[in-house]
Amino acid sequence: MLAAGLLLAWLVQPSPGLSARSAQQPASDPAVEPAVREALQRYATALESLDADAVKKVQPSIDVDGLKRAFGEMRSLDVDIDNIRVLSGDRAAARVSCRVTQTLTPKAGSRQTSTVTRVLRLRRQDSSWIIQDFER
Amino acid sequence: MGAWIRTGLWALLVVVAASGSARAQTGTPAGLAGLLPDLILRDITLPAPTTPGLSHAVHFSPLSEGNVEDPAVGIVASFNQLLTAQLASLPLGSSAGGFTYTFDPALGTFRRASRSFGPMFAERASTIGKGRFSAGFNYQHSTYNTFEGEDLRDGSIKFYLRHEECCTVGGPPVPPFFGVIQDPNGTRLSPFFEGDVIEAALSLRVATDTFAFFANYGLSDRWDVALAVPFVRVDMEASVLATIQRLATGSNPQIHSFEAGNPSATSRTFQRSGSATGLGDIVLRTKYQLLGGARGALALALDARLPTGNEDDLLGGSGQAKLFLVASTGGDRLGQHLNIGYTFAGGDEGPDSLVMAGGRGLPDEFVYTGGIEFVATPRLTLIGDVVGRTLIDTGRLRIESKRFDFQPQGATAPSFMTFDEFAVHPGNLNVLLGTVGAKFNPYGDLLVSGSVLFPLNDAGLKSRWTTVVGIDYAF
Repeated sequence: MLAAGLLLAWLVQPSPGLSARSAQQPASDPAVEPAVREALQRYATALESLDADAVKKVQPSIDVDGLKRAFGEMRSLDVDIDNIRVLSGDRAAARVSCRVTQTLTPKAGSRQTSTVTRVLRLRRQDSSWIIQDFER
Repeated sequence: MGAWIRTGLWALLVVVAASGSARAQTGTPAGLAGLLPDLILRDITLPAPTTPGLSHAVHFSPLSEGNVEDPAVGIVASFNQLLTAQLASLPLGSSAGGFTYTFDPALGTFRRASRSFGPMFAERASTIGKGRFSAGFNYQHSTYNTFEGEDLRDGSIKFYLRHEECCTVGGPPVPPFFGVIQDPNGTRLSPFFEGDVIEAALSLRVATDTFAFFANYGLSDRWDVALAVPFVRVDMEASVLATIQRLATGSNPQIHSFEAGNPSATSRTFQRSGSATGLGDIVLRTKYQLLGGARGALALALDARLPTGNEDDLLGGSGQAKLFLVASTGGDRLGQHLNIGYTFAGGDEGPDSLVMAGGRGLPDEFVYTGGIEFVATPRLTLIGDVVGRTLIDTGRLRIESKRFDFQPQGATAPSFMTFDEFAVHPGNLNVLLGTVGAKFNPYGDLLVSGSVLFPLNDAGLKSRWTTVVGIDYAF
């Protein structure tokens, strides 16, 4: 009963508005967004080149062998990253949401497209930014 | 999930059992399933005598005499049952959906779920993907050469038709009618002509052609549903060289002859042939992937074989439900797969249907398939499989030397002769097949496949080669 009551209370509680959510988010440094966009563009270009080592330069944590196997099945890959939003960030790190659309032309099989919204963390390394990991 | 599968399985079993019972029939079936019993047990008759007297016309024809207790009836029926059970339940190739790319969040891009295009006669654990659809067809041709290791075509399979007990009283009412006879008077060997037999040497040509449509749809990333609709043609051409073995009538050869008044006419060929074409047993399949990863997966699948094929014409059998586990593992170039499960049959093999009809209803089966897939190039997968089926409690036929007693006219004591004939033994039929083949991707999502299926043991009905070709397209 208690659990049911708590669930009901949770369900009927007023949904926080967009402005409230925005107010709760940490403010981001305006200078971060151009750097993040540039890093994501490098990431997209590296994926399109089907070069696992190039991807590793932008995302050092990537499983290079697994990516090489995946690229080995591809004839080409078109990558488009948009709807980039810096959820939080400063000069050292950033948390970003973006929409990634990939169109795969495989060596065997027909072309297919996937669009996913991803949340990732980036950090500054020397003079550029790199992808630390993907939250989802 | 478990409760759902259990409920579904029992529902299917009820359906297939009901359908099997409804189809059980009495007597010789009209179609191909009855061709051999009719030919061997009914057609072999002698002409009526030219002069008035006792006619021996149907004395070697137990079905004409209505004598289903004759040992030859049981042997021929068992032979026919094993033959038809295997013909009616040929394994169909499967459509595995050869192209499956999934978005891998860890890699940040697409990954091919399996580089292989999948097996031919097995399922693989990977699913086709949510909303994806594949369809295709297979064509399969089999010509059968041997049965239980004996050549089907050269007359080496022989049955022995005993003379019906026409005149005696007080003989033993149960088989074996030709047991050791201590006192010829009033037994099977009295009168003397009871001792003859007809040797029926069978030459049988059986071929099947199956054209099966497949469709496979991904309800979710882990759950597939599929359908196979086979159209089957069965051709049978049987010939029996019947030879009178004059064991007892050597001194009076006019009694048993294939030509009235011609005692030298001891042989005659009897023939029957037929073919049937039509819808086979439709198979509905559902498969759920329980575990899945880049290197391997485990799935549970359920096949419902609906009794849509005409059983009398060997186009199908009774309903079946097959529950099986599917495991797949593999690396870049080499993959392995294993299917293991049990088939529950809904057939009714009651006493009425057993003797005459042969394969009335299909037996339960333990089924297993294992094999490898080798990715020769991204467009070509080579496949090797072992397909095993254990048909439960079907009985086995083995050639044995049998003793036939006779007592020529005027002889004071019985003699005997031995002939090699099938004998029925209880047991399971273990059918083991091998298959090698290839799947090739010439364009887009099109797959062209070809394979041959060959026997790995002598059990049951055997085709030297079964060829399978197919086309599969993923949308």
